[in-house]
Amino acid sequence: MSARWTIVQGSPQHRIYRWVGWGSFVAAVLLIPLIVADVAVINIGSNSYKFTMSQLTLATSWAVAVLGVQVIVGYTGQLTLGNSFFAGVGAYLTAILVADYHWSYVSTLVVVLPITFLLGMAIGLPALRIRGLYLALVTISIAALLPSFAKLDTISIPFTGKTISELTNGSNGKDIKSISKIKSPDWIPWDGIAGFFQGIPVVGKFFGEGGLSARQEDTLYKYLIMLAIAVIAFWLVRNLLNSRVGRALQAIRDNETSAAVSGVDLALYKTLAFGVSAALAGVAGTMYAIDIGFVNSDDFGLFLAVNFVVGLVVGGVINMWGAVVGGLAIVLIPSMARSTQSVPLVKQSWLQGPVGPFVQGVLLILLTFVLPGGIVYGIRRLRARFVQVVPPELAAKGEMEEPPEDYIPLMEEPPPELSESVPD
Amino acid sequence: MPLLDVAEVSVQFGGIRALTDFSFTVDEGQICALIGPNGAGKTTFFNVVSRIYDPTSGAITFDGENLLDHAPHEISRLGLYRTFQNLALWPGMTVLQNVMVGGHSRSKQNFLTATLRIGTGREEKRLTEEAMAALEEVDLADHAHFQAAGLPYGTLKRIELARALIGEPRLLMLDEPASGLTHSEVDELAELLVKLRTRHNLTMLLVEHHMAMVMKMSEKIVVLNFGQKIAEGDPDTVRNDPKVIEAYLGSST
Ligand SMILES: Nc1ncnc2c1ncn2[C@@H]1O[C@H](COP(=O)(O)OP(=O)(O)OP(=O)(O)O)[C@@H](O)[C@H]1O
Ligand SMILES: [Mg+2]
Repeated sequence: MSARWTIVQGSPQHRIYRWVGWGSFVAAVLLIPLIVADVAVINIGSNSYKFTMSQLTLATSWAVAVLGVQVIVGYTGQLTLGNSFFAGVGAYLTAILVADYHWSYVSTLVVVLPITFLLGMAIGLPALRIRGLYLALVTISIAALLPSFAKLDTISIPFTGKTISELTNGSNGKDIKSISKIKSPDWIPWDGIAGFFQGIPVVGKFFGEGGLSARQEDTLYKYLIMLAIAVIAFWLVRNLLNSRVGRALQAIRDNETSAAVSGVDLALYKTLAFGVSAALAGVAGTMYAIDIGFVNSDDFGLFLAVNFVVGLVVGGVINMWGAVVGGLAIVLIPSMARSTQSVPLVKQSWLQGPVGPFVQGVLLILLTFVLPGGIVYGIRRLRARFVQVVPPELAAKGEMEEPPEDYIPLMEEPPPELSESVPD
Repeated sequence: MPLLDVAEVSVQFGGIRALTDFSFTVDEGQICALIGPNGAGKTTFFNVVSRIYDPTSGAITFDGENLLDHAPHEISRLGLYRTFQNLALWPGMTVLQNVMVGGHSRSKQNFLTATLRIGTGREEKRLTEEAMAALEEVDLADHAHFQAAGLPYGTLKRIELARALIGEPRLLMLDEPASGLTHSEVDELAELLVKLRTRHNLTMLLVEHHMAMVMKMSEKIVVLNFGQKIAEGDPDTVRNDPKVIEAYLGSST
């Protein structure tokens, strides 16, 4: 394939290439909310798909949650399914501190981060002994626990003098937004910003007409807060994964024995990775509380636990963009499946009525076959047909003879288990 | 004082006695070969030194330190590095990253400093340079950015060697480095190993079935058969030892 465009790493072209890539992403993240405002409708064939701001904000939270799963499953190779538990803990902690103790939403992270981190480490302890399917089973049991745990009225929490169900408001759910509502500060000139984009020729009409309602402004402001939290979380995790620690985690994933022989303390690194993963789930929970303003324990059960993993697999297992796409996928796939009323070649009568979950199931099955390794991986493969970025050492040789082998953890044969067989 | 001192080490797996009262020493700077027919217990011994297996009895001292007091991940910090008979690389990472993990014990970033990027830049740069240098030594610098998965067997063996080298080993333990290589590759490897030994002041413990290579390279040879030491000495002594000849007659080597 000589039609490929070769870019040398670190060259001016590479810099431009990266700037264009990142620039489009930043523009999309900042402008799409202005375009969507409340609802955007896109018609494909005779289906009309609705995209709302609340989907975008929720997807931002879940992207952070999927990132947490990615750290532990994708990078460390520990098959855990319990992260919805920590998301629930994070959401409740924020809800309780905001509603009952009048903290500001974002400041609750000071409590959420350490508590979910320590809880994650504690729950990571069994992972030092068990692995694979057994670990999946133990952790998904923990995920299943949260809804009933939040309704316990026998255990009282120190310092508060209240039982768990009093703090969480039991099965009624904890309302926060009627007590503290996120309001856009006056100094943000939303109308001016909207007016500016509306004034641009040709594309201006996508930005609607006239000023924004107070509710729209509050939503946009809330989105910005959540976006800032997400960006910081992704940046910190990126630092971690591109370091000695990130490499050690991947070494644990690919071969524990040689990781240990190279000096990686398996117990320490695994437990800390569990902590990081859980803390990210906790942050996602806080973001959820900011977003929805209401926390109901039933929303943090098994379904969410599985959804996080679905997001990871659909998005991409070992690429952080996979978490971004995964967060969007969790939110968008169900709603798009529901709105799909006609598909070419499929009898119209089959798609009548509540067939959303069915369409979604078929879609997920198709995705795993068409795009093994996730959407991001598929996009990268497609891109590699047109553009290849080569390190300077290889640039002199022109095209790489063979593109490096692809590797998708979770799809490989499972690595030999340390306890059962030792490489010889 | 010998660098590695093995005293009456025994290992048992259920009914199988993989090693029985195995004793020998390796001096600093020596190239010592550990040979024996298949199933003799050579790899088992490596795994005991790596602390993957616990011996049922015996003691191993490395530079005065009791090895059996240490956890597996602490062994490399003492300067003990090894390669694996059946390859134990990390296919999901690039060749460069694989080698950089070999420098784990000689670097410091932890979860907190890495996340907050405190002092990470300098260490990353040093590790990258050292890993490139190690790859250069095994003639794989141009493979640095390839994913390890799917590379040819001989290449992977050299990556393992580079991964051990970056740790600046005092004792380098090689488990059948020549297996699966062609004749000319074996000669190159032997030459490379001798060169590396002088350049890095290495002590080597070599497990190998390729007798020509063993006889040419080693200063001392220890022979195992069914978990027991049957001979020990310089290449000429061992080559002519009737017990060794007998042990090898049955096998095809
Ligand atoms: N984890 C284990 N469980 C049970 N038996 C084992 C284990 N590891 C090794 N053995 C047995 O111990 C004996 C010695 O094996 P080892 O792998 O050390 O031989 P080796 O000298 O390295 O042979 P080769 O030249 O074939 O690599 C063999 O009988 C082997 O089956
Ligand atoms: Mg062996």
